[in-house]
Amino acid sequence: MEYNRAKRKIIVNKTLSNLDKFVLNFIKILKKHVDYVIISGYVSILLGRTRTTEDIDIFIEKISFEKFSKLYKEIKKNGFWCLNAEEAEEIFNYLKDNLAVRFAKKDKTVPNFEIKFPKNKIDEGAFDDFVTVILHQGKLRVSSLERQIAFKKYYLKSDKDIEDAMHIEDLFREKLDYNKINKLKEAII
Amino acid sequence: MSKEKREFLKPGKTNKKERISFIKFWVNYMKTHSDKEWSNQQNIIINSQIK
Repeated sequence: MEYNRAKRKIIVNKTLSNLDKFVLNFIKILKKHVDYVIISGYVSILLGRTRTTEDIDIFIEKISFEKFSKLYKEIKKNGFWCLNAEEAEEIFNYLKDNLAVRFAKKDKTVPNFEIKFPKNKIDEGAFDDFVTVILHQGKLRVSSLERQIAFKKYYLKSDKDIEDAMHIEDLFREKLDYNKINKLKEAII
Repeated sequence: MSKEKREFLKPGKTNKKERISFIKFWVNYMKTHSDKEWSNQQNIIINSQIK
């Protein structure tokens, strides 16, 4: 695994898991319509953490209802369903109210994608410093390593989150910007 | 013939410490093995739950 902090790129020559393939498949649809950043647990898993998850958390940029309708139409066309509602307007209203909505493969509940709009300036920052993970079969935009560590270690703070943060911190220790982690820590607590 | 130098996992005294110790052990494994080697092992866990 090679991380270039200046270029905000991580090259991973891994054998893709079924979860990685599932994510790449969904992101292929999503990125045609909207800017996105994958955040939280799946980022640690993508980078080697030995656990799995029932959901993949994703921020999407705030978009209009028209744009969302087109995205939703294509999501459905590709065999996914929304766990929260059927009508596009209802789903969009949840997003507008800063609530997350979930999409899974038809007739399945997990794993699912938990999609949400950024709810404040800190969340919006995830779009400014995202890192691109380059895999053999595609690319994924993930939240910066410093952001991952700060949120998991100082905001979410469950055992699982602290362990996820520790995994990333141990793996990239020499390449992390600790000033940035501290600034994020101050902003979120 | 020289023996390959092998890292061993230090057992933790509590479940929490044991888990932390394993994370450090696993990260060291990842750093000393190819992406293909560690991911093939990681995939045993993930693919057993997600078909």
